[in-house]
Amino acid sequence: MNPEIQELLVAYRVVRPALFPVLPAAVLTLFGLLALLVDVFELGRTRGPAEGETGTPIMAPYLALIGTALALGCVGWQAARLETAGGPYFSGMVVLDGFGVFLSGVVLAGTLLTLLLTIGYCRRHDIHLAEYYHLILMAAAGMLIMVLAGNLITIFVGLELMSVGVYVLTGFRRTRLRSVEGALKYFVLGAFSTGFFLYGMALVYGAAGTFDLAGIRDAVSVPPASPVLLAGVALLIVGFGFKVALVPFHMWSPDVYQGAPAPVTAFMATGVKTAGFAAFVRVFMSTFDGLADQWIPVLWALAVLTMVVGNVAAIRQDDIKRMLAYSSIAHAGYLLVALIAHSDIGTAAFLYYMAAYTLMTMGAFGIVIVLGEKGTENTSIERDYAGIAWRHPLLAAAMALFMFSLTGIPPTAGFVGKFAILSAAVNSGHVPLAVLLVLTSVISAYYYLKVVVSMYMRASEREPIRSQVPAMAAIALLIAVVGVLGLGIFPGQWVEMARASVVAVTGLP
Amino acid sequence: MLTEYLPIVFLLFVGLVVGGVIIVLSWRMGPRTRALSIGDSPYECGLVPTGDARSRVDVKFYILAMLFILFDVEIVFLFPWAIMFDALGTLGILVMFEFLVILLVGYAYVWRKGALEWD
Repeated sequence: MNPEIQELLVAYRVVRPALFPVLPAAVLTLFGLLALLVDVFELGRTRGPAEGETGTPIMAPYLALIGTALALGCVGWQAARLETAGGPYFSGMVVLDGFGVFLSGVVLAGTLLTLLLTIGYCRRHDIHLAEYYHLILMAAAGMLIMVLAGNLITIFVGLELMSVGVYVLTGFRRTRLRSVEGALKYFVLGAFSTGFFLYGMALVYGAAGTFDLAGIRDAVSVPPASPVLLAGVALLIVGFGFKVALVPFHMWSPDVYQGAPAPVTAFMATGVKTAGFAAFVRVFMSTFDGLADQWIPVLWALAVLTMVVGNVAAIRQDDIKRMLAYSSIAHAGYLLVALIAHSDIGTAAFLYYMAAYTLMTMGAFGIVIVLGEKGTENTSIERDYAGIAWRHPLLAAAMALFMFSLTGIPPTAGFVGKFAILSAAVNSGHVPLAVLLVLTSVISAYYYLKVVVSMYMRASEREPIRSQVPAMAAIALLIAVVGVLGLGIFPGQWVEMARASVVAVTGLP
Repeated sequence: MLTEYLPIVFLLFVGLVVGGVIIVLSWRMGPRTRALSIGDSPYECGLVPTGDARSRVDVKFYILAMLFILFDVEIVFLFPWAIMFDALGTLGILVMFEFLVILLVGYAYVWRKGALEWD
């Protein structure tokens, strides 16, 4: 055989096993680039109505969908091969464990639903740019890298890849003032918080002498902890807290959620939050495990603030996107309780809740997207949602289901998730936190049920919303409804899956 | 241990004294000038400033600067690889090729979008 070819084969044998954990991200990147290339060479694009006008990208959305579905398939393959998967990959920069694979699945499911909902939305609001799909895929690839990161540098690279894409997506409707305002706020504050994160990384590096998560764990396990290390941990909390919108680092999120195009908001509320929390939990549960006595009180205070402020502020909102923004802040507080429980049960509850939260938030935003009309998104709860049940009974029923699930009423996924978090918190002796979680959930019932009341018990005073549900959006909503009910009525195997996934995170190499 | 830093403290002290003495001397002994004279302009011996510094710049310059940074950073990655070319072998070529392909897609995008044309 030709020596060059032989050498290539040898290189391939070296590369192939190393690529296994990043395969989904690689697939997303490949299809993202394809979507961009195909469009920029004007293949798979309809002609504009007149000479020189641009048409609609036809191929790019489908390429994005196929890519995400393939990546989801790769995650399934990873899950099946998890036991035999060795490591470390990329010298420990990437870890492949049950925790990461589970959350990769959650991220990709969120991306798939976003894409299904996006396609009809873009037609309706005249967004005819293939870059939109490219950016979603690249951001999703960044999320996957964050989820599987075994090194602070990898977390940072994933964080940036994700954030840069989402900054641009936020301002995608650039003729709208709110969209541009949201993008600017998100970008400036996001860059600021990145500074905090980077500084925290630097201080931790100074104390531990390595960026490797397992290496840091070994270095910090010997008490007493140095002040430099603790300062680094505190700055990392600020950096993560910003990305997942914990109070008091949440100021950006209502404006950004309101200004961004609705599918992007849904993507932010699910994907960005999942990826941020994934890295957050991995770093604190495994790497800073030995410092638990120091960080638990800090996160405890943040959780209390987040739950109270998120829920109380949501009461006054009339814009449904703002309401859901505060709701997602409140849910970040619940997820934080699962982290504070600091046990395997807590991490399993976190995983389960993340899946449930993604489905129900995606569903709620799906209804918001579907109810939008050309030029306006119809987001007023009082005005636009009044009496919807009579014109769109199915959509209203689905919305009511998502609202019940977000409140945490059985038989929905939200109930089982909250139950899991509560039992984890009580098990670890955080009874006051559990009580507060229940109390704030009661507050949340007010604003979630306000939507249901408006839909079912108010007469509409505006001209009826003319809205046809695109076939793809209908599929997405169906997936969300089935998922929320399925996770709620038959939680057994999902809870079991979450538990099984935790075993690997504690066994970080 | 801290005595190692003594020379730095000494240097700091000398710097402060010399600087302070010069300021005080020129204040006491220098000739008085009227306020708002040429001495207050940003560059006393340079060109006479015309207009405001905050004028608008054509957005084309920003695009050019952005593209310059992007493709400049590419070189930053290429040079170390080129030096270690032998040691990295075929695997290195493959990885670098992958990097360049992604960059090439970006280049094709920039070119087709017309960002390389000045008018």
